[in-house]
Amino acid sequence: MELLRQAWAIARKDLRIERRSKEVVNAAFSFALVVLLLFSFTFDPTGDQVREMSGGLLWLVYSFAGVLVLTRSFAQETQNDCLDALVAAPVPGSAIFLGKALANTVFLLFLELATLPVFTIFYNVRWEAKMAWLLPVLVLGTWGFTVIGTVFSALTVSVRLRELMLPLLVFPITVPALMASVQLTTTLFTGEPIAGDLVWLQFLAGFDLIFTLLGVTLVETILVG
Amino acid sequence: MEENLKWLWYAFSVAWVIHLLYVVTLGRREAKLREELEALRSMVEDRGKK
Amino acid sequence: MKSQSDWIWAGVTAVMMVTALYLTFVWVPMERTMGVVQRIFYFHAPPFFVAAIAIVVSLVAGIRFLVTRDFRFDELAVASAELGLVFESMNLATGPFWARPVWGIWWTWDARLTSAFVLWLMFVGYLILRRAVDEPTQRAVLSAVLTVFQAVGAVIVYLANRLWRTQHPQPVIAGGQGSGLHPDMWLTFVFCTAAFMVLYLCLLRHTRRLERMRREIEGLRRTVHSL
Repeated sequence: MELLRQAWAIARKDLRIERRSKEVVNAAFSFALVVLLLFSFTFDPTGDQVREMSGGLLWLVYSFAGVLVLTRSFAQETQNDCLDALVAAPVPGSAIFLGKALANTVFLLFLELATLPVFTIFYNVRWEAKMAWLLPVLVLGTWGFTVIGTVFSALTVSVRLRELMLPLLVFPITVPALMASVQLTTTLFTGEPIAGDLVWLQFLAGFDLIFTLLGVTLVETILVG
Repeated sequence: MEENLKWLWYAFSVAWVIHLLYVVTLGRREAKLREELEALRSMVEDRGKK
Repeated sequence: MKSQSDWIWAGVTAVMMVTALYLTFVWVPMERTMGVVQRIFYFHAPPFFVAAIAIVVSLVAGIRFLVTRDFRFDELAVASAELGLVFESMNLATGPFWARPVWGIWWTWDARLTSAFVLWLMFVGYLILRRAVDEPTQRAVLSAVLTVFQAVGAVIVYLANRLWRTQHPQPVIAGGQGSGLHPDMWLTFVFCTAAFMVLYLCLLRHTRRLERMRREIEGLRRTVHSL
């Protein structure tokens, strides 16, 4: 489809910028490690107790680091009037949105997969085969977070205190996706059967669908006014 | 029973304090804006006359 | 200066509020298990419903602004959102004083309370966003879009919390608050809700006026600069 092709072009642009500069993912990854460090002081990371909280900890780390990535998504376009150029281009706003959301998801997945080994070591996670389920959970959870984050990155691009506004506005709305992701991840880490939690997976998929549609519909209004 | 009565009063007071504080700030904001509006209106009039 | 209709609205509101007070503290029968403290219910729950209506009004006004670009809808949207924050604050602030004597805890993260807090945070986010944008059209557009996301988000947050709590059964706390109410209590509750609604409508006139004045000032400032 034309829309997807255009979105992919935009995504490739953002991916290429990051591949060359490696700014954001490095900074976000470092920040994720710092957050892991801070958590180690708040909780005593011994044994089973931690496994109960592991899902929550992991997604908190992802959320905080992810916000850094998302803020920059549209903010980087303000230099050299790139945003105006994008908006003026014969590409629908929805393509810009989908493209950026796609690129952001790739960045965040990268970040998440890089953080996992460190998390495994710090919190003594034992990996099993069924933890392959973690991948769809990461993808669905990240997409939900990214989609909303990208919308608000566009929304706050010309707003004062952008770095504060984005998390303030995004987190209350992404709470359900976070809850679902945490629930699913904790189940996987504690070794319980995932069958009981499939409803959360469906919930997450539904959440992603609703907010993707909402984003696609409203992004033009945000960018053009 | 008396013990619980105090909670009722706390809740009641809190609700009313919030409400009253809000109404007071509303009044003050309205007064301030009215003042500014008058000032600006007269400024526009003066400049228009010039 | 206060116009005549202002005084009429204030009068009606006062009458309803005084009646509500009488009903709450004198007329309504005492609740069997919780005693006198249960009366908090009559000024704890109604503000929540008013706040919910306030967000719906703000949402509809925001959408109508996006469609018509008539700034009077934007004025209504922000005026209603501000009141939503005030009423939701009343709801959240009175709750713990009821919870503490009855359940021994100030707060719990059940579906209702968590959603109430999220709703409150959304109001705060909305109002802060409005302060962070200077250009009027952009401010109105972004606020309206935000409200759409927040309204959908609020509903989903509630549903998610319901799902969470059905999976992790918690001590039944607010269970059956509205169920099994004596008809006199229902009457009091409905009347109190109506009284708070009237208060909301009365205050809405003022907040809308404020926003209208603010917009006029913005416009005049620009005119003055250009002269």
